[in-house]
Amino acid sequence: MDKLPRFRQTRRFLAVTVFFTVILLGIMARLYFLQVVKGSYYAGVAEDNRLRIISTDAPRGEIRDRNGVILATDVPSFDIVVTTYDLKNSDQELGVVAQLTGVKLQTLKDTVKKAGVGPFTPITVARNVSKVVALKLAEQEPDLPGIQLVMSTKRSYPQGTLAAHVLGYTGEIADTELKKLQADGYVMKDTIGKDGVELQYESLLRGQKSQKLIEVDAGGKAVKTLQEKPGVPGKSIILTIDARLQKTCEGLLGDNQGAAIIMDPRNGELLALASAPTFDPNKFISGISSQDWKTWSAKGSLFDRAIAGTFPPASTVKVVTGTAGLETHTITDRSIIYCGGGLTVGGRLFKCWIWPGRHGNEYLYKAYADSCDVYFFTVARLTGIESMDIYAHKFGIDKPTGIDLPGEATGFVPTPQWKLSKYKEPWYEGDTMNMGIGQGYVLETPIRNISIYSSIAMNGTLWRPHLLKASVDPVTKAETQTTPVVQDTLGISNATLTAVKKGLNLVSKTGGVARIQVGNIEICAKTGTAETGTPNLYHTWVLAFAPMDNPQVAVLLMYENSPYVRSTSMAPLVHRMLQQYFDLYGGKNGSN
Amino acid sequence: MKSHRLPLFFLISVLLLLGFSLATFYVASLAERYTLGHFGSYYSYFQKTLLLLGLSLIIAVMLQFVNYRVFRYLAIPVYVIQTGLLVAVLFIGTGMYGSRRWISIMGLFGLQPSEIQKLVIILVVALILTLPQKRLNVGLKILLVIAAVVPSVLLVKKEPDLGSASLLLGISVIMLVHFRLTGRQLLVLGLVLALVAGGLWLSLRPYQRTRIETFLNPQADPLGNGYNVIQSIVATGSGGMWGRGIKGSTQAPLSFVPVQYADFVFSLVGELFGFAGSALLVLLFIMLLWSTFLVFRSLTDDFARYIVVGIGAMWFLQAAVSMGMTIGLSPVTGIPLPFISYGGSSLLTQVAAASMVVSVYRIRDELRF
Repeated sequence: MDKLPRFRQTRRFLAVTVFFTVILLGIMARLYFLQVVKGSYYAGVAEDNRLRIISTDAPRGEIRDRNGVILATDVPSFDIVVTTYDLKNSDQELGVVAQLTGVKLQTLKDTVKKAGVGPFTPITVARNVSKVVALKLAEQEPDLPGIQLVMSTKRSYPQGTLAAHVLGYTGEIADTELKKLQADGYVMKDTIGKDGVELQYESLLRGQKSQKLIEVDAGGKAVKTLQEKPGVPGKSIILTIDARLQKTCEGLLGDNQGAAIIMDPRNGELLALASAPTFDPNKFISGISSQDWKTWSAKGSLFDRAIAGTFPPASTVKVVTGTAGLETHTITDRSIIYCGGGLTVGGRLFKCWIWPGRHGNEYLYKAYADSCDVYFFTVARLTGIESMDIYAHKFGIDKPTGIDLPGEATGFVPTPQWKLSKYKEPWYEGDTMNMGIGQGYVLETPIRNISIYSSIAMNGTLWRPHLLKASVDPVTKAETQTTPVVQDTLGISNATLTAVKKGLNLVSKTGGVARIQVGNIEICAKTGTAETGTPNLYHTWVLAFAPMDNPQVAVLLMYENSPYVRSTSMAPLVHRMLQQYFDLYGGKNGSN
Repeated sequence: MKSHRLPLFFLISVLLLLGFSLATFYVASLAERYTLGHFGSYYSYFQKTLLLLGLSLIIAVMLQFVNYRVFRYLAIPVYVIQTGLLVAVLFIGTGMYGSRRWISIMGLFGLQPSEIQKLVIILVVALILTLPQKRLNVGLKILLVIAAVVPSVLLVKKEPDLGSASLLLGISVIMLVHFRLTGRQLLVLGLVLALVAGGLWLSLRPYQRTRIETFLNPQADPLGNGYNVIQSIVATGSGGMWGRGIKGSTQAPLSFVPVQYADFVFSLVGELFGFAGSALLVLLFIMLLWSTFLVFRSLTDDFARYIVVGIGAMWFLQAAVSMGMTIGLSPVTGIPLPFISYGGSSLLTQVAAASMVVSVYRIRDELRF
């Protein structure tokens, strides 16, 4: 029997037929499961597939000065986005991006991985790439199906370094920030304010992204827009800053280290708030170079000395000493103290700055004018450290002023307890005396110091220093004005403050400081020269407010490691600040 | 036994399947128009399928005038020519994703030699198995079959088209099953095949291995290789009981499932017509299966029987694998669903195969004396 009998062959084909029938019935069973049992689940998945929410950044609000000068705005720029589904060869394509942008390939991959979005949602991997990079990428785009160059905006600070510390800068949201802010709708690669007003008023400046519910095809290409929620641009901000005064202040500081402030004592508006050395916030936007970073780090350029630097106030603190003496009735404005050029206490000679000369008989007003150390040594010594501390607290030396900027530091008021626990040494009378002339342990921030002078100018009322003048609704253009807030009332008698002002007024008419004079406006001023520990190197201060009886403006100029040996040398500089202020605002009887 | 001139049951099955294909593409084109606002690619698939169907039917009718026994003599020359084309396609072929599967004919349409080769292999194997027994014993015939099939398998695999290569192998094996082998010999054959399969696995390209691994666990790589399968399952599942129809279908018009008009056509059916439509299609294939068996049973000529076995094997292997892969039951391979998938070479081959079945049925009586 050589041949398979036909019936056996037929039986085998029957078996094969039955076998395939069973397989096909199995397929049917699977269909039943997928379509009938889980049909609604898959229908939902199919919906998700085709629907996509596309968010587009809303323009960030502009920052302008009080006269409308644009300090920060958005300008067009290019972003690089990756759509993973379109990546044919992710290493090669991302490699090109890495090479062009200088970002590490692994970093790009991590960004894509961490994005946690579907394969069709574009992921921004690089923001604000330079025009050169954009052009080069545009050339290669046809070979890079998964990479796209998209138009976007970037922050720009058209005035360059002007008011850099006030404005701060924006940057890409950090992972730690993202964790905290996810609930507010922030996503990876979002731009967020990093410092200054940009950070402080992030919630105003940031707009609401526009959202589009679109139907897309498998390529992620939009087919139809189903719903649209338009974006809302961020609110613009009007600062209290006057760019012209700010420029003058920064010009005065130049390449030195220091701070310059112009403040309206009547409401706390800051017309200028400068810190030097400064930096260019634009450099943060396109990615700061390591060289810039090194330079800025070495110089402390990013440090805002005006609000975060603490320095010995030197003679400028004599307003506190004088107030303490008068308020505690330790002295009157007619009490006479003899200055023989120095004072020996506890076996140690405390020199007046005029040593080896002498001031002779001093009383309050003349003592301010002469900035006689022996006079204020004596007042402090007689008042005692407890009362000195009380008045230092009253003036808020160790409290924040509440300025609307991140990173404000507080000064320091030493107490005997503190000294004991810190140095294991008792408090000496000499410590009290040093405190009376602003040397030793007491420290103040420039913003606090000008606040003290402002509160004296306003007979004890401190208006909270602030930068936000108004915010502007992007749609209605309606302005929401900031209501000035009283930060503190000193609770010091008018008589005392009047006496102190009288002394400060005399300062502005005496010796080198007289160069501060502007026309016939009555000015109150005080200088201060603080020792640094290095011979012939000082921190120098000048504070002033004017007019004496109807104060409109308070100014501060302060150099850290000053180019001047005497603070009185700064009088012509402060004169320029005041002069310009009165040129601009003096005639208008107000700071509008 | 009463005999009909035509295998009516079989013919109806084939025509229903072809009608099903046209209906699917037509409805898909309407769904596409609804979603996109204008006719898109499915409308052109519909038109081209209509045209190709006309062409195929003409060829099918023409084939009826040819006695199938002529293929005994034509098989070898056609095999040689086809093998030449399979070699040629490796050099001048075109295709997607780096494969070379089509030969462009004057830039008008693409010829897919591997599709036609299935039919050619069926004829050649049928020929070898029915050669006069005086000259060849069983072992030699099996060796000859291997000698004839393996080069084609290797060439097709080289394109690379692992699916079609495996299909050629599968068809030959099923044909051999119907050869005069005892159960024990079949067992040995099975073992040998297992070894060959192991060897094939080792020779697979990485992406081919991934595909098979993906089949085993599509969720492991949802955006890469698993993507096709997941989207296909989603499309099928979203059809529900009655399908999403013209207004509800989105996966197809928005082309979420890759090549849903061809290899993944079964998911298109599932989305448009739901379980009702998909199950109906499966039933049509079961109908085709049994009608083919009935044709086979009525045949007395060995050559004819082997041809029908081969063709039946081709259809059901393809149907099972193609439907299976769209619902995650078999690995992703580029195997079209017979009569349903869009594709000229495929449709032509399948209709020609059906015509051949009709032909052997019609001529069977002449052999009875």
